[in-house]
Amino acid sequence: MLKNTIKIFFRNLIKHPGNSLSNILGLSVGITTCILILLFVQYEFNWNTDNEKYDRIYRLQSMSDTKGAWQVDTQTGFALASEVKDKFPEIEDAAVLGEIWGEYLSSSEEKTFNEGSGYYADKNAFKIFSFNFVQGNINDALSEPYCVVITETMAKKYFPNENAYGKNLKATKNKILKVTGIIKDFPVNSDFRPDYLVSMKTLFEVTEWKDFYKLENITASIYRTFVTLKPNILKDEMNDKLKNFLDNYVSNNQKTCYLKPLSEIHLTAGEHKDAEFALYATASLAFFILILSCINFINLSTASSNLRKKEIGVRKVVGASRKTLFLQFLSESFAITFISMVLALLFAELILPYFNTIVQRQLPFNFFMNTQFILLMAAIFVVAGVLSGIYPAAYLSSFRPAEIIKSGVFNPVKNKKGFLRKSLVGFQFFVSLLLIITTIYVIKQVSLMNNKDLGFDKKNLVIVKVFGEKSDGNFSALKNELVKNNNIIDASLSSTAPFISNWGREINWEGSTASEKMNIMYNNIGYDFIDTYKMEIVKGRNFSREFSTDDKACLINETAWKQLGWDDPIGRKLDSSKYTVVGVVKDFHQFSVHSLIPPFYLTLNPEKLADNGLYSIRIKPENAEETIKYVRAQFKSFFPNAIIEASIYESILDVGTRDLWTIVEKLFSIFTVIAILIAANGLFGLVSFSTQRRTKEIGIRKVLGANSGKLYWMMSSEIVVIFVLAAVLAIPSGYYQSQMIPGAYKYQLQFIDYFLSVGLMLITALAATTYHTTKAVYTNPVKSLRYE
Amino acid sequence: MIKLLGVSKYYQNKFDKTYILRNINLEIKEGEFVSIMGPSGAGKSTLLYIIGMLDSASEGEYYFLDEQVHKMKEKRLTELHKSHIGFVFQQYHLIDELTVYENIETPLLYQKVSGSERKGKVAELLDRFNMVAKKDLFPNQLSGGQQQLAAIARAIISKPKLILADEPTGNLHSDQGKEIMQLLKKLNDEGTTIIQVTHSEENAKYGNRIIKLSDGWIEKE
Repeated sequence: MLKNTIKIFFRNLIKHPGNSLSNILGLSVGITTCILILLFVQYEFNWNTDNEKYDRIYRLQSMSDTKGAWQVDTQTGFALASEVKDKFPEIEDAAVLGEIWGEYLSSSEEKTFNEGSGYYADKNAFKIFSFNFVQGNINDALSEPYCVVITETMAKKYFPNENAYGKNLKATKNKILKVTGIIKDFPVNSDFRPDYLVSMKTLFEVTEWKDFYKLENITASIYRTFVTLKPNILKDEMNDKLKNFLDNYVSNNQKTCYLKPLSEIHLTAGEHKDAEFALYATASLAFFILILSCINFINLSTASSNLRKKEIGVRKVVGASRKTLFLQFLSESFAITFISMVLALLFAELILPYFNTIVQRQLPFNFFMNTQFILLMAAIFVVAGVLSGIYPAAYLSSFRPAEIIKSGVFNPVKNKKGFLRKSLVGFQFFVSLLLIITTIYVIKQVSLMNNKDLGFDKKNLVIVKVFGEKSDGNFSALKNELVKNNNIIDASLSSTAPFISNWGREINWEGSTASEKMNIMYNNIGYDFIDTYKMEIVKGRNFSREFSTDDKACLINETAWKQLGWDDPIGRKLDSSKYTVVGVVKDFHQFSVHSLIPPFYLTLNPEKLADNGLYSIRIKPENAEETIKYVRAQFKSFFPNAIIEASIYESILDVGTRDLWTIVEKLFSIFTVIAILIAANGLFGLVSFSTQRRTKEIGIRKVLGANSGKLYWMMSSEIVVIFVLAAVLAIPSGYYQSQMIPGAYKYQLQFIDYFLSVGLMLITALAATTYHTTKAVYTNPVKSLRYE
Repeated sequence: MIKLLGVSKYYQNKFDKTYILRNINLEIKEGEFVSIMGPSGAGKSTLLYIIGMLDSASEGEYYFLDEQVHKMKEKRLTELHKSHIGFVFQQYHLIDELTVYENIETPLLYQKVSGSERKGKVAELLDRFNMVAKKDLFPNQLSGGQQQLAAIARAIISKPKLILADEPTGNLHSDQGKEIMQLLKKLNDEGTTIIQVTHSEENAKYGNRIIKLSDGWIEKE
């Protein structure tokens, strides 16, 4: 039986090569797309999974709620790790990590590099995250001050031709670090991916803030605390116990401790569901494309049932039951799906390198290593096989043998008017339209984010950071030297800068009750910061050298003004009456453009060079490189022994914006085109069958005097009606979908967007039908009628 | 063996019924060789297909081997017809994608006969019909007579009690036609009941009973 089925399957395949090829290729294009997109989505969902204790690792962080605005703080005080480990038996291990900023390491004069990703840590970190030591060991590597553990890549970078183990690395402030361990690099999709770890005891030696470890500073926001729970401890139960934990240490505490699973850190960083949403949207794109190609398969195999009807009739006559035939056709669909799948895997492997450049990842294609992927493939196989097989099998096996045998008339029991086929075509239109609308939405949304008014001018700014040396001078002296250059417009000093770093704290305000506090971001700025950044004062005034009291003055942003609810903010007091509000700054973005602007206040920086601030310099666009060189030289003369880092502000920004959404935008743009082509291809095939069936009718109508315009309409009207129905459904769905996207700022779809989507799809649909319709309309009727 | 009581077949249009068969009462005993005759459109083929369970009556009762066919579920119908009835058609209706051997074998596949047994049965029939040399050819490589021989081989391979033949010689020239009719006669002599639809008086002579149909009525016997 099986042999017979297989034989007839292959003979049919070879007998109608065009038909088979279009079926197989269509399906395999769909599956290929699905594989590639899902590989990406899988990769993104699997950040950090390489850690052995992945599902038990949590970041201990806090949340505070003031005046209705809650804020997540992912950093903690130093003492928290050891305290929770002491107090809670459920916690297996706890480690504190101190991020190291702006460190320069060197093994020799020419091998000096700015290192981004380093931490102060002790051996507890090794108990939580999976480290693989190549040299050195877990217990001793970080037990002494001035020890460093580096990755293999780092070892090769600093000591190319020798064993790095036991060698010294020079760090800023003349620290000498001894390499006491070499570890394997962490996989790229890890959020905790240090290049080097310096022993925690080193921090005790070098820090200027000697009280950092004390219990009273347990709510400080400086360190990272990671814990592992013992097996079978539930996160929620643990969170209940942790809820008021910090109250034991600090009076008037507003922070609630909670565990953030490592599995959620990557995608829902600031508790936004943004990235997750983007990934689900992308996965559904894959699913839709798969469905589109399955529909093509269904339509083509039912439309081409003419080719099989005699076989079906005969088989029924000689004793095949409906069930046997159903199974025969279903297994044929599965066979086609299988062939398409094998092809698709091949295509996917070939395309993957190009795909990787699109998604800016190094997705591996280790098919047999990836259990999740194998399961996924099995799922796709079953879904595609069932979707594309069930209906045609039911349809084909429903033919009444008597009618086929007797008259050769093609007249299946069900579906006399092709209702299902029309619905499927309609559904394809619907999905394609929805994808086009979504793509337009994503493109517009991303560009909205990229071109969003940040509240300041990000162009032509240079950011300078100084490491390793302090100077006694005043900033005004340095600034005077800087502005001597005609290409430098303005310069200022500040503690943080938008998108580079940010500070938050809790303050009270004039009129707040004793326990009321508000979470607010703040910055310490020089006189010229507002001008340098081209921010706008909407009320009151900027800091000014003419007011000697301005060291007690502050500016607030519009959001803070609104949240504080003051009619006239000028003259009001903040932070235990330390500061008086003198002006309001127009809202500006300090970090993600996806989130709402938080309340913000700015205080005056005394402009001492000793404070190691950030320097922002506004330059003219002409000769930027020359200007930056000049800037560097001036800084060098004020800080002769320091390391000066001067970079174009926008180049720093670009790193931040090259995020998931940009990739999702590209994926949508590319794969929606593919989806449309798949739908168009299906339509093309379907029209070819329906015109074949109507050749005689068209011939007769022509003989009776129908003109070609009427014939065109007769052939296309059905498609147009289906299209209109699909559009009527797709537009509100597209609108609804665009409203579901998380994030504070949403692009609103315009009439023109819908118009473009519908227009594009209609043109594609008509283009797909025109070839066959035209052929049918212009065929000489004598030809089509003679062979009836 | 076959008993039709008041069987009618019609197609319902919007306002009226178009009758193909009207009030057919008919009994056929085991071992008979019946010829159904009549002009085009008289309902001959429809009657044959109703008897063969490929089509169903609109009204009336149909008993096959004392079972009530008109009340049967599709599954039981398939069961009954595949084990007791063989069909032969004017257009032979062999499956184009299968060889002669495979075509003859097909009914056995649906009866779940084991591989070795199938081989034996097909070989025996090929031998009996002198078609061993042709067994690996496809239908379009055979003459009409050879195709009809293969079709008859397929019809009788599962040893049915009843063979229904719809103008079995209609597409053949006379020599081939004669050969086919003799074969049917021989099968009838061996005990198989045969019902054929035919236009030809000559072919009807091979049988022992003639039923004349006209406008859906049985005219006379």
